[in-house]
Amino acid sequence: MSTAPHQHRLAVGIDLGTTNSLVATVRNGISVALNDENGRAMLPSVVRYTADGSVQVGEAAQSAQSDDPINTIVSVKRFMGRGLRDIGDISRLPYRFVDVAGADSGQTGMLQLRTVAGVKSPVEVSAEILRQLRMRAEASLGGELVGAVITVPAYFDDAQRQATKDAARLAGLNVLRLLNEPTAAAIAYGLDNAAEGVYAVYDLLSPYDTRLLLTHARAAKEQLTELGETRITVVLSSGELIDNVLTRAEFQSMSRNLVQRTIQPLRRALRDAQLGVADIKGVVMVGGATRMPQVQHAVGEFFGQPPLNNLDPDKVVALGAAIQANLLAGNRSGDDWLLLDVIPLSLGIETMGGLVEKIIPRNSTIPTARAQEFTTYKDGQTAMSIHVVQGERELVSDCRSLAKFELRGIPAMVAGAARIRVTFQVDADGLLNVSARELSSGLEASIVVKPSYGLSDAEISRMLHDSTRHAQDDMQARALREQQTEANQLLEAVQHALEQDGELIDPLRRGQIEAQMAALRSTLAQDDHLAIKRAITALNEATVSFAQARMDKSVGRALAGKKISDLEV
Amino acid sequence: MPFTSFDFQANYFQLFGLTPSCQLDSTQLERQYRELQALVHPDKHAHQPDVEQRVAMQRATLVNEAYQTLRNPLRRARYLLSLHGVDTQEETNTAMPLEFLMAQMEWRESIVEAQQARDADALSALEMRLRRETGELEALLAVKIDTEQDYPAAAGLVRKLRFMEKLAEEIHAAYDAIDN
Repeated sequence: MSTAPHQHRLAVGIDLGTTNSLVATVRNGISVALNDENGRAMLPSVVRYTADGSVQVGEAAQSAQSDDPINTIVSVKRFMGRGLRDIGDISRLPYRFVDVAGADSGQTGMLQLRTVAGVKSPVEVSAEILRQLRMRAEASLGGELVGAVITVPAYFDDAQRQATKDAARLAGLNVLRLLNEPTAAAIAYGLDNAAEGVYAVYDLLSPYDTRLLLTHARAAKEQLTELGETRITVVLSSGELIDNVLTRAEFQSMSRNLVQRTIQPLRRALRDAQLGVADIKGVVMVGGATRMPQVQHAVGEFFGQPPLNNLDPDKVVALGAAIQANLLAGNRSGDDWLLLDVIPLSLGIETMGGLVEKIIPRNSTIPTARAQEFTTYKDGQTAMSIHVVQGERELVSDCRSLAKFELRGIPAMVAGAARIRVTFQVDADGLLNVSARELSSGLEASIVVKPSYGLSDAEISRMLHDSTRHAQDDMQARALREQQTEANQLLEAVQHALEQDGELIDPLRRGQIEAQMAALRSTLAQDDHLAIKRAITALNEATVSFAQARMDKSVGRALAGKKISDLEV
Repeated sequence: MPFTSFDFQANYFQLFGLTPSCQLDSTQLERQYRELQALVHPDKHAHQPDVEQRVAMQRATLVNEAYQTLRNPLRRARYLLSLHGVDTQEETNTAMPLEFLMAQMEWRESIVEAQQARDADALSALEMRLRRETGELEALLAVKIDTEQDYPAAAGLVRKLRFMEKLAEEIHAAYDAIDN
């Protein structure tokens, strides 16, 4: 990677979405979404594993969805950093789930999916989508990426953020920053409109499209945005035919309640920010679902102003992420901006009686850290267990378990004498790191952080190994070809030398050389480039004195017929 | 403050180039905070080696902590008192004037009533009154610390303000309960 000051570093923003994913970059100062070879910016977030080991991503996978639902993973984002019991009714989903034991007994780890190509973690599935987008970007930009900003929903907890970062790592991306989706949208609008003031971001998620029926319902919903009525025709797997005409009025009454429910969080957001409707300068819309006229109307009514619509709500997140990636890669200077984001959910620890003690409250500006002191409750106690949770509720059981770790190596003292200072550090990606120190002895206690839903380093390295296996196969093939070529050239050269100057060496030495030649020829039949290399070395060694003799002879030949004076300089 | 002279040992006021005092120019604090973060924030060092990114994170963490402490009057006073070596004894000293404790009980009852009646307007009125009374206590606190240097009295006011802070949290919890 070059660090030349004026070289433009290739950086992208990636919206890793539930339904669709996009990659964007800043080109000539303007953020643009990058299209695939068919001119499409949106990559359906669908991954299909096939029996022959190949992986389909996007449209190709989506079109196989109804034929091969088990191996076609749709909307994998909802499984990121999640255990099986977090997923509502799994019987409605076509996948073969694998319940994974967590790092801690009594806890479950991130769920996995059994496919025809083996068991896959949501991290691996997401990595396929990210890899596809990375390749698209590198092909389009003509070079290797310095890094990427990946967006995550603002409500994503630590496990979901960590899973997203792991997926990016697996896809060979250097993560410059994880960025909250609404923040990314605000950046896209803020810079395009040179805005100053407080802006609200209204982000409406699209429902998960897990069933054929939903796919059709979605198409109908989109048509209703343009037309007054639409016809839904679906043949269910049972053979039953559904053929209905849906008018916009009917659809609106169906969705009115849903839309109204999305207004409630707006009130709460304003209250949290201690602002009134009048303080809001503009409203940014995110997500294709915000195109629905009743959503536009309801949001406009609440804020007393029509929402901003001059950027594509499907692309605005990726566009903002690209602008931030361009900044973080160091491509701007002087006129830049500073993003001060917050942690979306409070971090706390479990205390007596299964209650939560908040350590870092939500909406704290990141990076942030808080240190907490603990002590032992038994004489001679040398270890202590700490349970970190995330959420706003009072009870541990109502919050998300993030990590359980054990402080070991506490010097044995009477109860209450040890003072263990545990530091909770949240970095600029919103990810938690924990460290601890025993203060009275100055000992740095060893910590084993076991992310309840995260991946262990061993799992990550296994996945990295799997993903680079093909690359390794390629490397081996190339090494084999190179050694074979070298061996053939050497055999030919030695054969030629023997024919030309064989009389320079005694029969014993000649026999040794011919034995090594035969050995090298026999390794050529194998696929082992290392064996070939060893045989090449052996043959080279066997021919050292022969080569020396030939060199002497050629020098003598060159000198023959020349006078000494010609050789003087 | 130049980036290279960043001092982890400096107190929060020194960090922002401010005179240690209860009364603070919040505009100046905000401006200094932004200027400092513009130098130390990890985003400014995202393309640099890991070591520098780690240092940036630690510096930005400290600047955030300092800003959050100084912008909030109660936390600012508590911090200022700690600089003067005064412990506010919020966990240990629970002695409060009877009158104050009675008022606390009345506050609690009003909040619970408003919540049960799902009366957001009543909550809003309570919130306004609480803000006003909190402001009065804060003004008094500034006099005790900045003018009179009466730290024991200031510590007593900090303990009272802690009660007011808890009431504000309860009002917010009541809003949430009405919403859900």
